[in-house]
Amino acid sequence: MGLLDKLTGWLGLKKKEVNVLCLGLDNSGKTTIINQLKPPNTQAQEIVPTIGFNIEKFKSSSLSFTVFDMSGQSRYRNLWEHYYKESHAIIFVIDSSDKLRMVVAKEELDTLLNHEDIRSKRIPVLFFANKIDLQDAMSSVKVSQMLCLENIKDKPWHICASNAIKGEGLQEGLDWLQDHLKTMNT
Amino acid sequence: MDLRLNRVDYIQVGVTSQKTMRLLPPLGKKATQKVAIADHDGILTCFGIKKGEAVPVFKTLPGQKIARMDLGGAAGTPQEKIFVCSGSQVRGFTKKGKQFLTFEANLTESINAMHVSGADLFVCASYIYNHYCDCKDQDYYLSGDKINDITCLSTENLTHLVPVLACQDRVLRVLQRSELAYDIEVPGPPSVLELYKEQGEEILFGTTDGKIGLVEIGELSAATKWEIDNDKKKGGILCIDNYDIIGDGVNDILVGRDDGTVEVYGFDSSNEPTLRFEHVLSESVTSIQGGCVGKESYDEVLTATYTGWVTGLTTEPQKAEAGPGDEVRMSKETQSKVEALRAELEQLQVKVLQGREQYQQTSQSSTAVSAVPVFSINDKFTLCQDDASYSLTLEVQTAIDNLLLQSDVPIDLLDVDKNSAVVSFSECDSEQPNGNFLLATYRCQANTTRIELKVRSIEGQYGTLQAYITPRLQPKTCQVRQYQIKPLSLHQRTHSIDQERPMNRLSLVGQFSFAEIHSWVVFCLPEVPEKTPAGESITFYFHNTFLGTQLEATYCKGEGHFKSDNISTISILSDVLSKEATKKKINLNISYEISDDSVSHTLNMIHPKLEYQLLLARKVQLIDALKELQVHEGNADFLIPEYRNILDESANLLEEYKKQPAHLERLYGMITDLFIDKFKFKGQNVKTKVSSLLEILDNYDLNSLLDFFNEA
Repeated sequence: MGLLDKLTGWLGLKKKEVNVLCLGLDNSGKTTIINQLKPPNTQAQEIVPTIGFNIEKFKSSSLSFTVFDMSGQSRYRNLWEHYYKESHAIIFVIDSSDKLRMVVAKEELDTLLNHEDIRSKRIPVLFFANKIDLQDAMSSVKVSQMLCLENIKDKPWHICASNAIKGEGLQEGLDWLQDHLKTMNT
Repeated sequence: MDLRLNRVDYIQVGVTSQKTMRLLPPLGKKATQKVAIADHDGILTCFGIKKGEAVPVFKTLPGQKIARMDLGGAAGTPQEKIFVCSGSQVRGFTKKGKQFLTFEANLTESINAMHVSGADLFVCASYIYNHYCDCKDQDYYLSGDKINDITCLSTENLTHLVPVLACQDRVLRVLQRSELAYDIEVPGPPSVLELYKEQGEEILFGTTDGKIGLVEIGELSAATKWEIDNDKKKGGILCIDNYDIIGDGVNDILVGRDDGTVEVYGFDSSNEPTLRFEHVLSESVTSIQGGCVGKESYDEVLTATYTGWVTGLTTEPQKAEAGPGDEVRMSKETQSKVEALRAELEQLQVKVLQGREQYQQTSQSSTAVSAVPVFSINDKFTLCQDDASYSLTLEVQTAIDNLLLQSDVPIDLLDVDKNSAVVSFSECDSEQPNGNFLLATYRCQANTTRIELKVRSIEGQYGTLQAYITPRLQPKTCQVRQYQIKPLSLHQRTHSIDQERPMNRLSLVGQFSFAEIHSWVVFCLPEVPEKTPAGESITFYFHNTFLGTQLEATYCKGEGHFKSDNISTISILSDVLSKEATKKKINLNISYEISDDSVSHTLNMIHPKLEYQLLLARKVQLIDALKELQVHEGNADFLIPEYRNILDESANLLEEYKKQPAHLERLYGMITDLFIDKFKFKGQNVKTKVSSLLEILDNYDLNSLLDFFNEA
């Protein structure tokens, strides 16, 4: 890093870049969440199931995010692990109205956390209990119980209830993530 | 599907009356709605919710107690003008708080129900109904009994206005101009009416004994669509609204009760209402509305309680965030709320301390008078149909410290499960001339604002029951309430009686006016309007809630006729009426006509109850012994089927037995009274034979009892 880079870094002119992996089962709302976080003029109008993965970039107040929006369909899930190495944070999205596949989500989460590239790293994990606007949605506390999040001891984690269509709850989650990313790498 | 709603408290205003909170129509398509609420201090508050905080739009100055609120506006425009009535005055406000109407209705009494529809204004005082159009008098009607609520069928698909009055004597009166078109009998005294749809001829009603129904008002008659009974003995209905909170496209029914229960009824595929959600608020719910207040696009049920709390039951989930760690983390809003409350409390403590010191000093002065703080009490003393006992509910705006009950008639106080107060009975000396039959003190647990008691009276014993209520206020003061226990306290008004039964008659002739005899009947019987009815003569029908016997009272000036199939009822009536007449020094000519069949008829009516109670008592006696045997042997297979049956049902039997304490004694008492009264009318005194009657009752058999009644 050159002197100029450091200077801009201190002054906060150049934002630090972070790579974030956005994971979760299919139809949990990953692409919609990422879409909501982008600036309004670049937001997509229609969202279709992701094939493979998309790379999206957006900036928050102090960080510049590069998000790997992975497809959640079962045949693409083995793609996830290829991106574990370079990620600084994970966003895990859960459809809180989908009680039936909560166990699948838990299984995927467990394999993720036990992966060799993730296990040793102390990276923040942000959970979005998405689709809370639905009538039969579970609360974020209930979701965290079903996924046994209290067993995660070695990583900072946080769960936020969210409604990705309206954008509710996303900012709170992102704020938490930002706080942790800033303290981690410096 | 079950409905989950989360409770959010918004603000607190003063004590509120029934139906004094409304939601203003939303401005945008999905924007949150503003709330308008009026209280007993006469303050009309309008507020909106921004980020969980109540932001006031306007607040009027204090004035007379506001009894009702309605929204109105010119036809076809959003109904956003706020109308409130206080005393005999109706005031109108725009949604910005500008007063545009002050209308003095010139009634002697204060208005207690109001409906606004375009330029038409309908107001009701206790018995009077008035219709004004553009503040000009149009129609007038004098109802036979107290008017509890009014609504008006919408005008657009009808050629004329159809006002409907909810009257205390269990009827809905449908008016046409100043005339009564017809009336609809409902199962209890209706307390609230609400249009089912904005446009249509269907009206929802709620009764003080907790029943709900839907009636379709036709041109000449009405049809009841459905009724929901009150099996679980929940409180009376104070407010109803319809709103689609479940989100299935059909309007659901929101109900608020006086015991704090909030209910949501949805409609299944067969259009029958079913309970979908229930929540208890611990204070009586005075207004209920469906809408969107706290956060846009989340529907909620907004309620106002007696003490003025505006509470929302919202579909919005509450706890949004969580993280690792065992401690429960408070959200930022909760934290700031706690801090704000703490700061306010500290300030207030200092202020109160100063005030108290000042008060202590000035109270030493010999000329100063210590004023008593006034607090309002919301009380209800009603007869429950199914267990023939009175329920007394008292509600105070602040927590109750203690409650003293004093009675000069023999009454029983029964346990109420919901009641958490500690009761202590003091010893009474009923021998003295002004003796008490009951002295009981209820010490309430912290934060009890509402207390419910059950009182069981005996027919024929009349007097007053007094309640001394002390709330947790400084300085501690007490208010007294008096309740009359009438001679025929277990009688309830009905619409008709069975004329086939053998009847005993009592006729009175004398120099009394219509008003005088009416006041005597009011003294004797519950649920009779205090105002003397219009017309030459009047007929009331009653039925005894305990035995099912009936009474017909017809009277006019100088003449009164009472018919009943129970001799005891007639005997009590004749005693009380002659006593009352003697007080006024009026000579009464009393004549009786006793039907001998009536005694056996009454005994036959008592028979199933008595038999059931005796059987129950016998079964309950055996339960303990049978249980011991079961424990010893390990199972109950060796027992005969009858005993095994008792064991299986033991829990139910015990509960039943607990519910009806002294039921058997009550029945014995009634039979003894009947026996004495029967012979009293024949001029015999049979008090000496009571002991042999009790002997017969102990080995009860209907035939031997009938024989004893006949021969003795």
